[in-house]
Amino acid sequence: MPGFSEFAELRRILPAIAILISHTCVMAAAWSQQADTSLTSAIDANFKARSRLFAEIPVVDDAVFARRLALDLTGMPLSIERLQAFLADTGPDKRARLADELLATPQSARHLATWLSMILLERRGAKVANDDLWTGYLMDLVRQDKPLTDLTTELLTATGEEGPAQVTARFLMDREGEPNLLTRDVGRVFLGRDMQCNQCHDHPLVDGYLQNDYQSLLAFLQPTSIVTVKQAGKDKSLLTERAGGRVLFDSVFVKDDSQLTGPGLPGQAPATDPAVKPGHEYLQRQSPSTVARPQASRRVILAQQIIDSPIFAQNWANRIWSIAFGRGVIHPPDFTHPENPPVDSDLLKSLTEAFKSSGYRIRPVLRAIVLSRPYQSPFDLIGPLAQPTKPGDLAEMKSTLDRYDSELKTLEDNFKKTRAEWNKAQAAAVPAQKARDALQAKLDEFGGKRDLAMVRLDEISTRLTQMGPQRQALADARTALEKAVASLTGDKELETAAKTLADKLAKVEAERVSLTEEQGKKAVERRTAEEQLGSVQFQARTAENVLKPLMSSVLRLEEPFRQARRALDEKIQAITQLKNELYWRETCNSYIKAEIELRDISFQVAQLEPMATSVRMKLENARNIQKELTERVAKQTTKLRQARDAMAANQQATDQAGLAAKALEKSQADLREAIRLVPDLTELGQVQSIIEKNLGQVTGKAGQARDAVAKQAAIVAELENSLSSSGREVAEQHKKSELLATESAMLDGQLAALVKMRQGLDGQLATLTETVARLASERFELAGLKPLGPESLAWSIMKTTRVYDNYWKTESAALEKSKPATEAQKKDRAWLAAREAEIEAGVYAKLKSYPTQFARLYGLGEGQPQSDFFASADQALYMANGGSVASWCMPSAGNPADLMIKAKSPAEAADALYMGVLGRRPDADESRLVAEALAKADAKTRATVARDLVWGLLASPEFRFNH
Amino acid sequence: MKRDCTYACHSPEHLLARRQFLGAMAATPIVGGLGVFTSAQAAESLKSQQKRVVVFNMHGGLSQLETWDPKPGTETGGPFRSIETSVPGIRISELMPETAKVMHHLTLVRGVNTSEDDHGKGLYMMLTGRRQTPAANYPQIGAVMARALTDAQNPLPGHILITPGGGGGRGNEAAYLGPKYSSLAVGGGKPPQYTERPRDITESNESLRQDVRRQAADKFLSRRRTAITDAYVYSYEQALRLMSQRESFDISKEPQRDQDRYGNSDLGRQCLLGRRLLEKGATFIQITHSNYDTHNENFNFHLEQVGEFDRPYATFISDLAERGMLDSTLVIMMSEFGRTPNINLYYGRDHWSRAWTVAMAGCGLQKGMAFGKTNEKGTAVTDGQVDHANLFHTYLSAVGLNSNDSFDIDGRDMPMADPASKPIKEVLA
Repeated sequence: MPGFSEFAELRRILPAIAILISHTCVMAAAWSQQADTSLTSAIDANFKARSRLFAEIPVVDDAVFARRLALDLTGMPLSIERLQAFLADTGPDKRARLADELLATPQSARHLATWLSMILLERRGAKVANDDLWTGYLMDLVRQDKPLTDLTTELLTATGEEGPAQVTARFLMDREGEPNLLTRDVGRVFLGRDMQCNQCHDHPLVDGYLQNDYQSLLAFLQPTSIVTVKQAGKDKSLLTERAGGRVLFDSVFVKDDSQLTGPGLPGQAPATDPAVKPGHEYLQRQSPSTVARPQASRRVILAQQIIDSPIFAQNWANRIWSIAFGRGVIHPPDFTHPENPPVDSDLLKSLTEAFKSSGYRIRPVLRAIVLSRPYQSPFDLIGPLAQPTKPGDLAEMKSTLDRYDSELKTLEDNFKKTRAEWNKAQAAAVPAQKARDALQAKLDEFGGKRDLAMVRLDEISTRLTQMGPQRQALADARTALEKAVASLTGDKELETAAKTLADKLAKVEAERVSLTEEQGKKAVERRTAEEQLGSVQFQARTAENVLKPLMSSVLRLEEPFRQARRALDEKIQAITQLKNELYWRETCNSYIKAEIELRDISFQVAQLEPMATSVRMKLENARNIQKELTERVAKQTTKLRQARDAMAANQQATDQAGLAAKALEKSQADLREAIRLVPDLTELGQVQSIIEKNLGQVTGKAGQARDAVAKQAAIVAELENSLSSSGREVAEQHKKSELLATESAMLDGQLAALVKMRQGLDGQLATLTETVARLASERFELAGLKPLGPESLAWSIMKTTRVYDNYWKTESAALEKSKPATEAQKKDRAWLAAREAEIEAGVYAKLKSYPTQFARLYGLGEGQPQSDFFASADQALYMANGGSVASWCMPSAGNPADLMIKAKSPAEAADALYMGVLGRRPDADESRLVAEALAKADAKTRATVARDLVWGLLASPEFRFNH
Repeated sequence: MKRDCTYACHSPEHLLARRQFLGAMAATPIVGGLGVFTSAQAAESLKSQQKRVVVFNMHGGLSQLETWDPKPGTETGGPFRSIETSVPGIRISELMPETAKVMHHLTLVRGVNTSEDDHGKGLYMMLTGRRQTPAANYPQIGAVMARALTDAQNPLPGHILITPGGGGGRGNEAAYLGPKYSSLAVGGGKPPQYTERPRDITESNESLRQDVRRQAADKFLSRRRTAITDAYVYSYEQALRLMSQRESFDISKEPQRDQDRYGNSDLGRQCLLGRRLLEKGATFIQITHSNYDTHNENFNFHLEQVGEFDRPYATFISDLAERGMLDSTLVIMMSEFGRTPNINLYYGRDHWSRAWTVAMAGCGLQKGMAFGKTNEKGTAVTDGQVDHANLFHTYLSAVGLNSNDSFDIDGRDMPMADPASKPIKEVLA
């Protein structure tokens, strides 16, 4: 671990932290015993059986695991201290202990409550109760491990009445009790089926979704709406529910196709309403002050049907899985249909069974999932490759696929045939149902009149009963007063009193008379209504008798249709799964093939490269020699020229000397002749001796020059010799170079071709890598990339910059001051947990505006699925220039920027930055960038530079995504 | 593997579009420079390729009788005359003399019958091409166009509303297409939110923090690259580009002469900003002109309102045409419905959705055409009757999309337009 001061300090306090951790683990232990370890083994076995890409997928290291786990379970990373303590922990099962510890935190309760809320309300605004109450309700559910069956019942049967349970009405009332909206969302949330598009016709793009599915679910919800009633002088919005009937519908695409349906879940046997006598449908009818309550609430039946349906447990198990993997075994979780089958049916079955046997609770299942082997896979492709699927196996899969396809036709025909028969029976029942509905309207009208009359009659008789003693008392008082008036004649006051009394009595009497009259009228009304009701009831029974055989034939024919549909759906699912598997294996094969080809080519390149290099060097060498030789020839040529020039010069001197000697000799001969002819000219003798002397000299010179010429001729001859031999050498060397050049060009050409091929393969492999990695994480062999939810992103940034921990400290200190803990409490696990929850709630209350701001930018619209990822420029602008993010990054008490500016060396600073923000050590390039940035900073700008470095990492995808 | 449904299909184009999208993502440089167009030539080629859409929303219910389909001299016609236009045979109300001069660019659909006289529902239908249902929410035209047409490299938001004052938060017009395609409201000379750096972040601070971010991003993307990680990294580059584009939103940068031509009114400024943004590469712009709900004094109101509208609108159309942009820009002028032929006691006209007009111009359309007819008094469509869904299909077709395509929303196919309807073939070029 980094050796700088803060971490050294950390090491010193590690034992204390370890104690704290073991303490928390004890807290969690009781809970974790309930967890299902067999689920973990089942997931692991499934993973091992399915894993295809690698001989062995490595397990991620502790730091990566800790970050992944903390983000998934609590929505924020660990603090640096907690991370260091986890890394230093050498105890067994430390990953399981960390999971238990995190699951027991109040942050986890909030994170899971947010997760539930995104599914249930999709950021809809509160029409009843408020967001804090709602989150509190969900947090309690998580903390108490309440079964999701309870949640379902509470949400679907809510009334909206004031009181602690009012918050449960948000699911229905935030959607304004709108039956179609509720039908869509009950389908999506609880049954994993988005049937919005099959409201008005069979789904145009999804074969498995029929209009009837939608309409039969609608039959549960159509009777529900919101009404405003006046109670205790106040207007209240409450959920009211009429008695349910059957839904009549036509497809907007197919003409003359009247159908009808009672309540039922898609693909399941229809629900049966308890028998209710016509005209007695209501426990309480709707009035200005009351909501309607039917004898048999369709919403109560719906809740029960959903809970009992196998789809329910599968849906939630699938959703809990997606917390850990970012996608469901069926994905999207609300788009279950035969052509979008589970990645692995066995895996989904294990999860569903475990969820059921855990009592429909979130945390035990989630715990088992995060401790499984696939959860600990890396998110990128590393590790040795497995063997490709053999061509024979692929061919076998293809032939199975062909067989399935050939079986499809019969199943489709059967589907169409049974459906046509069933639809015919439905159409036949429609007129009778319409007649029955018309009578029901009358039943409701007369029943309503009767019930209203009865309510009024009850009120009248209560009032009359009250009035009996009142009248008596007034009459008695009048008698007594009259006596007094008689005895005290003329007492004005008494007379006035007597008059008042008489008036009062008259008024009461008048009321009695009017009430009695109304009683008579109401009794008539009631009788009339009852008579009308009676006659309509009779007609209704008759109509019911007409309808009954028609409906029972609809029901009878629905059964074979349902079977045909199931058989077809199963086949389509099997085909889709097989196709997906085939595609996966073929992609893997291409990937493996491309990898091998790339390796081969790289090998060839590696072999060819040194050869080419050596030839290239030889060539260079030869060319150097050639160059030297050429230079030598040039020098020799120069020398030869010089030698020839010198020789020519000497030759010239020799020639001149020769001519001079000849001239002198001739002069001497002439002189000698003159002396003989004139002997007394003595001076001539002197001349003769001068000439003689000069002649000797000239002759000598000529001899010398001749000698020199002879010498130089030898030199020239030698030079000429060596030049011609050099010329030969040059020619030879040139030939050699030419050969080498050809060889080198050939090798370079080969190499270039290979490199080009390698480039092509690199590109191909990059694309294949993306596809394989995507498919592998969709199959849960590799980890997925999970974008942090808006809230989670806000908390993670605040946690990383230590804003969160600072608020926690303040809140904790404030509580310790206002409500100091006793020694006994400090050892009481339940008390400690409650205190933590209280601190968390306090911190949340102070910081909640930030997750709200993030949700506005990073969240999807109200009523839209909240799982879709999107990135936009205004998010980036908010991170950069708006909000508080940049200021949170400034150095402050122990946050990454603070540790950086206090670090003793650039290496320590880089460690503090990368460990603190991303939970990993920096690589060399990253350390260099940090060092350079800090080196450029002066004392004044150091803080802002540290801030910028922290911001840069917070804005990186490595922080934005859990991986 | 289709069973009973034969009315819609998985279109290969749509699958292809998705692949192209992913391919484009993969080809996107991770560390981008600033600015989309490096040369005027690139801008030129964009003009001929990139399709843009402008919607004029005549809020409150524009009277077809005082604009596109006058019936002078009849008991329903009101006091205004009709005038000749640049297209022989097509006459419009005398309240639009400038528009009459650009009629050869326009396409009128005079047989609109939407059968919905409620403001909210009518507007919803016109903007989404569907009838409002409680269980479903459909994206508005701006979001659809932004998603279908905006180039990933475009620094400007794909869906822009120009309001007189600008500002305002994100709407929820994108429904399932997601907030990325929700509108950004601009106007009043103000650039979008958060495009200005806080004072304590200098340029060198900015370049340092972006360097660190890019380095970390490159390292992460070298390990695993996906459409969503690319999109995330790209959003920061897009933000930087938007920061450098602040002046795109400032019409005082336009020549004074143009400011004068568009006139000193909110609508004039909105139109000029619209032109400026289109030139900077914006994909979709919506301008609302309010308020035409003239239950009283219909004629005085229309005299004033249409009078204000006529010049900026005609200038806008002719400017786009002159700059060669009209061939790639679809300009729609719609309302939630028309107004009753019957004139009420207060000289007003009420809501009338049975026979009214939508005007279009530009991209992919027949030019100088009036399609559809109403009867003599304008009370009913006699020829070429269409509704909101036909119009929506037509808008999509006009910009070169296949209106039967679907969007792929997280594995779900969501048809772009009502699968039960089709475009108006007669007005398409």
